[in-house]
Amino acid sequence: MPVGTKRSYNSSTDELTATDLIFQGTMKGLLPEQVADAGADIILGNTYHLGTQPVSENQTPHIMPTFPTLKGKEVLSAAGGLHQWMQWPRALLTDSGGFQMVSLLKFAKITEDGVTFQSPYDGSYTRERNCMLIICILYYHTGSECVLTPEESIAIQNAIGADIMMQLDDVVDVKETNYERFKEATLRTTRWLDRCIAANKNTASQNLFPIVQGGVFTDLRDLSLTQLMERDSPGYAIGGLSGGEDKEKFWPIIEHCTRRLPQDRPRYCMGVGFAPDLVVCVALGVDMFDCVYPTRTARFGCALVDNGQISLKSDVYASDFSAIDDACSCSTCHTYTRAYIHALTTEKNPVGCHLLSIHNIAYQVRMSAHALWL
Amino acid sequence: MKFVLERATATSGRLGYIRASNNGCECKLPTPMMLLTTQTGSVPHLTKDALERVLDSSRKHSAAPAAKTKATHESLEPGKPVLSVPVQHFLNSHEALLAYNKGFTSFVGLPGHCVLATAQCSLTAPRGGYNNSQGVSVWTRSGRAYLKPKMYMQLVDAVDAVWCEALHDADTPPQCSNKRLAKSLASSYKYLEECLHAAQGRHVGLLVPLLGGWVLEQRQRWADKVKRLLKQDAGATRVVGYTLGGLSGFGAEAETLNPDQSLRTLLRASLVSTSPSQGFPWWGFPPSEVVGFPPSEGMGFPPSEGVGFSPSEGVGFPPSERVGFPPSERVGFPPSESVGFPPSEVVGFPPTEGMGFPPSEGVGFSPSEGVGFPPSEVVGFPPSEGEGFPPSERVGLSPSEGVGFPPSEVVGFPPSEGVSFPPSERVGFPPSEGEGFPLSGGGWVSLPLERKKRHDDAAATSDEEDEERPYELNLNLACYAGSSSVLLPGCNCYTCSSGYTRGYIHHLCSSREMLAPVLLQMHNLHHMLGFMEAIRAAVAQDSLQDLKEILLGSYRPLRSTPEETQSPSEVSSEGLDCPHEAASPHPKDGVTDPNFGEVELNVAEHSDGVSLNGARHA
Repeated sequence: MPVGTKRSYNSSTDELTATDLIFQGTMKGLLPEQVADAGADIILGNTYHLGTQPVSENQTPHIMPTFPTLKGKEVLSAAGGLHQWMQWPRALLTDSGGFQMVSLLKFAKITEDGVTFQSPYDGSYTRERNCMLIICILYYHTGSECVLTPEESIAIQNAIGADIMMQLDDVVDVKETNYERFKEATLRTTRWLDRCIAANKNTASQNLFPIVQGGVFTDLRDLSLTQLMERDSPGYAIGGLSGGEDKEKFWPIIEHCTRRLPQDRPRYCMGVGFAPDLVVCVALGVDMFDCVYPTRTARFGCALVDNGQISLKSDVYASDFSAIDDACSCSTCHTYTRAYIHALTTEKNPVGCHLLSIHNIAYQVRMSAHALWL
Repeated sequence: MKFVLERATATSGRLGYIRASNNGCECKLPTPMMLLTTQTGSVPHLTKDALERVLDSSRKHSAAPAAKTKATHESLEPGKPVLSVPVQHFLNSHEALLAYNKGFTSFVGLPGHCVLATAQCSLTAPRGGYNNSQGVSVWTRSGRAYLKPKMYMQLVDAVDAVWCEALHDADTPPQCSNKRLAKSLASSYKYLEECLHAAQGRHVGLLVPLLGGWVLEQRQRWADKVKRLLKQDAGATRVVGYTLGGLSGFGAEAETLNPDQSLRTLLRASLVSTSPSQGFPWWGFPPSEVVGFPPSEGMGFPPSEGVGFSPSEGVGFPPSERVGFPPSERVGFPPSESVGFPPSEVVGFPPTEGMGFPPSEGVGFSPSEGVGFPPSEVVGFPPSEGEGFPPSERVGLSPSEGVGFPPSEVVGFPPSEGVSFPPSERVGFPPSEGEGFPLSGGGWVSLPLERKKRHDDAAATSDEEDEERPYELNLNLACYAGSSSVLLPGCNCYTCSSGYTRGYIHHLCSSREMLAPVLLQMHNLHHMLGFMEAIRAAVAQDSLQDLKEILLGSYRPLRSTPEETQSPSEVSSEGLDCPHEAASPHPKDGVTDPNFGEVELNVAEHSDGVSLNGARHA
């Protein structure tokens, strides 16, 4: 059974937790109070290490950590966990970091040990840039290999202290079609789950979710489901399905998994967050979702509305004095008009991004809640 | 709108308030006061609710005792800070503003605030050489636009401004040619006449800029011309005050203005020469008396002179901060370009003889004797790298009592670089009745922020620099990565009282997250508002000189030009001794910083003041 339900996470399948989106230890410039007011109960942090460009020789490495071995997990442990660090009073969920590493790192490779990657920069401190992540694992690269093992991923997630954490899974490249590769990933994911379970030091306060693998092959999905369910976890994630696969194959797999997963455990479909996908998945029995799209699109001046999205940079909204959405109760729609947000976004004022992020999060929460009633 | 001068002191300036009407409700705006710089109608980085949190925390923790003033018997509600709105931000939204019928402040989500309109944004230096007798050039997202007086006044209407500064040609940097200066004055005079004419049919109060660039004779000449014009022009009835301009302190340049004797002389020339044109007695006082302080007690200042503003280019006043010292009937606001003055210079100018007060109400002067802000600190920070943001590096901290602000913290400047002020000392902040400033343990932290480009120069990130400038913290420094202390232990701002640590904010800064400037801005603005209260309290107690001494004792001047940037120092990989870290406990521990109360005040003995350019007279 899920533990650590002291926050607003609810394991009952009657309640949909729209896992709001997440972030970088920060929701795109919003205060935690603003995120909570928009209705978010749980936010997600990625364990992948965030980076900037590698420090060049000519640049004073003022971003270099004080000590080469200073790691994000130490910083977080010292801070008492991510909740405390970012002043978020509600629930948190962390990803393992594996997906980002494989999809974002140039030289990443999966081995039995973990996700291995090689720094292209010799002797320098490298942080690769990419979105989504908070806790910085700061690796000091010497040009040699670095590896994210299941144990290390769990150690970092323990330091983060989120209510829900994900196992490190064997992520298959989205372009892969080879059955054998998927089979390998399915079996390895189970082995890594066992390593994650063994490495978890906070079994009483953090819930570790396995991730069901198998690509679009139902027999592999069955294999994964059987093995993972033997571990009796507090909840289950369905992985490998947000890479843009054909929708005709997507729904049946979701349905296949949700039919077999235990009814009294939450089901989390990772990376699915677009409104149509979300609504269908809810109908198929999924409880939790995550998506960066709402806040990402807010940064580009787009607001989510019921029939899609509107780009407030367009001159169409220059004198539109209605709220973004009259049915929305977020602070942005309560205070500001489309015309003003148009002015802000066209003048590249960051306040515009903040206002749109608040609305988009509120929209996502409201839409998820509505999906429950369909 | 009415300015009420409550008290004029011998050495501490003037205290008063402006009665303004907002949506039918009258409110009072105590002076000296600062304005809130805005961009496209919003305080940089802050949504309405974030700004409200700052204003609430600042109000709640206001340590200012009731000013000892003459009984006014007026129980007006204190008004919200005035917004400084450069109309260039709304050039492309003019039609929308005209069509919107619920008022400008409602459009921008900040109802209840009065607006002071200026022409150009103070955060970015406009390109030189693009003004002419038709109008001034402003740069918008669609490119260059000419702002002519008529259009300017229409935009002033569109933003529902209560006051506006007359359009003027501000392209007169210190090194500009005499020809350029002459042309700018000729153009500005023409604009002024048109603005006066346009103001006649309107309700907006006009502020007349006192120009003349950096040439004394030109300043005197301009002031005389304006004096004559106001005596005869029908539009003069709409004039409510003056701004001190012509010093071209936009953007990054603002940091390099040195409010030394020569600058003060220039400003005095403007102020002294300008006499009231509405029948107020012209008392005439020696230039040393700095303009603007006309004590009503008959000390020899014509109250009507209404001096005391930061020049449009912002001498001494951060654009946001304009302190207005309106002469009894005139309000002076610093125009948008305010330069900031180092905290040591604070407020107004100290008259050389200590008699007049620098329009101290106007913070931002940095006269040697005065409390002032380093130009760099003033609002209107030089935007870092053309981002349009004030050197966020500036953080202004003031100890929890709200004293001291980081010079840089002027309002409106998002500490984008994550600088924040360290709490080190408390400045004598509004002492309670009769106590005077709590000099011990006080001090304020006002740190000049470093511009972003300094960071890129790899020069400004050493801890030694932090040591030298105790008013600010540069959160970009790696040494803060593991810090568990809040920005300023004991601070009551949203950022500190919520518990955000320096380590977290450092992470946000190094990840270039948008939340970094939000949190820092909230902290800094809280302190800037508190600083103004401290100044008002000091004026009320006639102890501004004490405040000045505290600031001088704690403040270290900012390197004013990139050329003076120190050479990059290696960041050692071991044992970085992070300034302000050693004894900064976690706020929740309830332990106060042991460093408080142990401030060594090195009151600089200066003959002609502290030079902004780093040459501190020990």
